Amino acid sequence: MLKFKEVSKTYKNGVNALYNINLLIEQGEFVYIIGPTGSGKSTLIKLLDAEEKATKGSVEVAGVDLAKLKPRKIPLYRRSIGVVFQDFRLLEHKTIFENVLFALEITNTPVLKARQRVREVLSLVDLADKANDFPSSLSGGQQQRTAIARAIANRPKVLVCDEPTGNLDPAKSADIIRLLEKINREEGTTILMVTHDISMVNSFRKRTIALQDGHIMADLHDGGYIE
Amino acid sequence: MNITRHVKEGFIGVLRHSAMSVSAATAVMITLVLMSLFLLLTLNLSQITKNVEESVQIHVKIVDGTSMETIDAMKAEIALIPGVKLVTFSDKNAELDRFIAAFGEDGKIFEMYRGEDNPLRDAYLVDVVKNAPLDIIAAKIKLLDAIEGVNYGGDNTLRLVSLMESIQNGGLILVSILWLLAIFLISNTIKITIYSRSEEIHIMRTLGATNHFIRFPFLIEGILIGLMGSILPILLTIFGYQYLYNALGGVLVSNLFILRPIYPMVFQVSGILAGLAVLVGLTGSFISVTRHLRWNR
Repeated sequence: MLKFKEVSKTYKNGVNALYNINLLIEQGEFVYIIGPTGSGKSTLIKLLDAEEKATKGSVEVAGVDLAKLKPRKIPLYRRSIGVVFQDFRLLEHKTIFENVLFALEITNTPVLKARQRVREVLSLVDLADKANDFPSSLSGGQQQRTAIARAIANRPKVLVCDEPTGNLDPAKSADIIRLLEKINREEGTTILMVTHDISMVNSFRKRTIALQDGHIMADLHDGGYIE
Repeated sequence: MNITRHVKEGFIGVLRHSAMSVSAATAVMITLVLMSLFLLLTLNLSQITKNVEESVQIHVKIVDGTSMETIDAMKAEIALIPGVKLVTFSDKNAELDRFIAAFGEDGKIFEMYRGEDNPLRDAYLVDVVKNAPLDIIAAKIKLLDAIEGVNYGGDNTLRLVSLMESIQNGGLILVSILWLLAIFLISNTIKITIYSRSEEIHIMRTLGATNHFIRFPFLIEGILIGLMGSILPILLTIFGYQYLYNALGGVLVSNLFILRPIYPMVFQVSGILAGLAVLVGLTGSFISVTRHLRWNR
C-alpha cells in the first residue's frame, strides 16, 4: 500500500531531512510515526502529499510512483489520499457541510450522491447537527472531526494525519484517536498518523515507527513507549 | 465540468467576502467614474473640433461689376490652389440670405436691402482640406484679379482649431494616464483580495482541486465585482449627461460648440464602461489567482 524504498530527501538549502528510509505499510494498517521536532516527520508527510519530491529512492502510494508524478497529475493523486493537519485547514467561509462537500465536488461526484455522502460522514464523526455552522463557531475538536470527515469523504485508501491531536486537550485527543480507529475498522482505511504525543501512543497501542535525525530508529509492531 | 457550480460559488464568494468585494468594487467604481467623465469630454471635444474645422471657410468678396466670364475663370483658378477642396459661387442675393440668417429672428430688418440696394458683393465660398494653411491660401487668392477682400476669420480661427486639437490630445493623454492608474489601483485591490484568500487556495490545492477548478469561481467573482463597480458610473453617465445636456440646452457657451446628442452616446459609453469593468475584473483575478497556483515541487 505504502512503500518507501531507500528514500533520501535533501532540501535545496542543503538541509538533510531523511536518510535512506525503507518502509512498508500494508493495506488496513494503523501506524504511528513518532519523533522529536526536526526528525523528518513533516518531510515524510510532504513526500506522501506530493508537496515535495524525494531526492533519492522511490515513494509508492497505492500503486502510484510519486517520483514520476507530473505536476498536472498531482491533484488527481491527492484526491486518492486523505490528509488531516494539525491546524485543521478548513475553508473559513464555507459551512461544515460545504467543507466536506468541497472534497466531493472536486472529484465530480453527482450532486445528490455527494450530499448523501456528506451526511453520512458527518454522522460518522458525530457532527450532523453542526452541518450549517461555520468552522469558527466550532471547538478545536469539532473542527478536527470536520477535517477528518472531509478527508475520508472520497473513501481514500490511505489517510495521512499530521499531528491531528497537536492542538487538542487529552480528552479531545482520545476522541479523535477513537474516531480514527473506527474509520480504520469500518472503512478499512490505512492510517498513518504522525504524532509526538507519547501518552497517546502508549494508551492506544499500534505499530509505531520512531524517526530521529532522518533515520528510522525503531519499528515496533506491538507499539508502546520509546525513549 | 460543472459551470453552474462554479458560477454559484462565484456569487457565494462575493457575498461571503462582502467587505473585500465592496472595497474592490469601489476601486473599480472610482476609476470608471473618472473614465466616464473623460470619455464624455473627449467625445464632445472631438465633435466640437470637427464642427469648427468644418465651418472653416474662406470668404472671398468679388469687386462689384465683374463679368460672369471672369467670375467663372477665377473660380477655376482658385480651385487649382493646393489645399482648396471646393469653391462655391454665392451671388449678392445669396449673401444677403446668409447675412440675415446669421442674425436669426432679428435679421428680418435687413430684408429692406434686398434688390438694387444690396450693399453686399458677390462672393466665393472656399472650403479647404483639413489642416490646410488658411493664411497662405488666403494670400494667394488675394493676388488674383477683381478680388475686393479675403476673409477667413483670421488667426482666431486658426488658433481655435489648434487649441481644440491640443485640448483633445491632452484629453487622450490624460485618459491614458488615468487608465494606467486604474489598472494599477484595481489589480492592487484584487491582489489584496486574493492574497487574503491565499490560505483558502492553498487548502483547496491540498485537497486535490485542479487549478482550473479553483480559478473558475474566482474569475466569476472578478466579473461580478467589476460589474458591481460599474453600476454607479453607468447611472451617472446616463442621467448625469442627460441632466447636463438639458441644462445647457445642448450647446456649450455658443452655437459653435454643439454637444453630442444624449442618445446613443450615453449607451455607447455605458457599454464601454461595463466592458472595461468585466475585463478588468477578469484579468485582475486571473493574474492574482494564477500567482498562487504555481507548482513549486
